Amino acid sequence: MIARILLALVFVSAGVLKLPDPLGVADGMAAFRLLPIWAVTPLALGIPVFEIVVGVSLLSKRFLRPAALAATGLSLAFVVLYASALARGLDVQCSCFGTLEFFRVSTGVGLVRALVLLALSAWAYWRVSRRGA
Amino acid sequence: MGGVLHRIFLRDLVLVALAFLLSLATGVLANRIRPDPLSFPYRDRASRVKEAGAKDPAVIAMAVVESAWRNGTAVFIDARESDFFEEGHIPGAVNLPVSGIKKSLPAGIPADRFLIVYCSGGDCEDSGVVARALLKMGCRDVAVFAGGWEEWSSAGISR
Repeated sequence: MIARILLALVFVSAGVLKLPDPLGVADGMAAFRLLPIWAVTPLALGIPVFEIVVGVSLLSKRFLRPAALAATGLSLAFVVLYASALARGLDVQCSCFGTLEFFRVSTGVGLVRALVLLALSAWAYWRVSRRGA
Repeated sequence: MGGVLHRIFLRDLVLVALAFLLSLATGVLANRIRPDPLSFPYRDRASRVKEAGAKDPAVIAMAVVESAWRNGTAVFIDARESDFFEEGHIPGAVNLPVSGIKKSLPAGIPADRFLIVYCSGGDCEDSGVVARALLKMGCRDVAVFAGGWEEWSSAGISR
C-alpha cells in the first residue's frame, strides 16, 4: 500500500512537472542519444500524460494491476536509458521532474533512482497479480 | 495457476499499450493548441539557434586569443558544462553552457565587448552554438576559439 502511494506520487508529480516544459523534456530525452529523432517529440509530449494516467490508476482499485505493470515498464525504460548513458560516459541531467533543480541528478544517481522505482513497481505488480489470480 | 497468470499478464499488457497510445495521442493533440508548439520532428538546440537566422561567428587562433587575454580586450565565455568549467578554465572566463542559454543575454556578459567563446577543443560544437546564440541576442563582436580548453591548457600560459 505504501509502495503504491509512493509510486503514484512519484509518477503524478513527474508528469505534472513536465507538462509546462515540453521543449525541456525533449532536450532531456535527446541528451541520452538513444532515441531516434522522430520519436523524441511524440514521447516528450505523451510520456508526461502517461505518467499521470499511471500514477492516478495506481490509486484506483479497478486499474491497479495494469498500472503497476505500466509503472514497471516505464521504470525499466528509465533504467535502460540511464545504464546506457553511464556505459557511454554521457553525463545526462534529465528533466525527469521538469524544471525542479532539486531532482536534477547525475547519471549514476539517476540510475539508482530508476532501479529503486523498478524494484518498487515490479514488487507491486507481483503482489497484485498473485492476489488477482 | 501459471496459465491464469499468463492470461492476466497479456490482458494487462494490452491495457497498458492502449493507455500509452492514448496518452501519446492526447499529448500530440494538446501540442496543437499550445502557443509555442513543439516541432515535428524534434530539432536540437544547435539547429534551433542556427535556424533562428544568426550569422556565423568568426573563428580565431591561439595567438589572437592570447593577446586579447593579456591585454584584457575580450571577455571569455566558457561554453562547457559547469563541472568541466569548475575543474579549470581560462582565468576570468564566464561560464555559459548550451544548457544555460535563455532568450535574453545573461547578466555579466556585456553585449558591446569582444566576446571569445570556447569549449573543450578538438571538434566540440558548443562554442559555435553559444556564439551564434550570443550574436542573435544582439552581441556585436563574437568569435570562437576553436582550439578551446585543450589548446589553452597545453600551452601553459601565465601572466
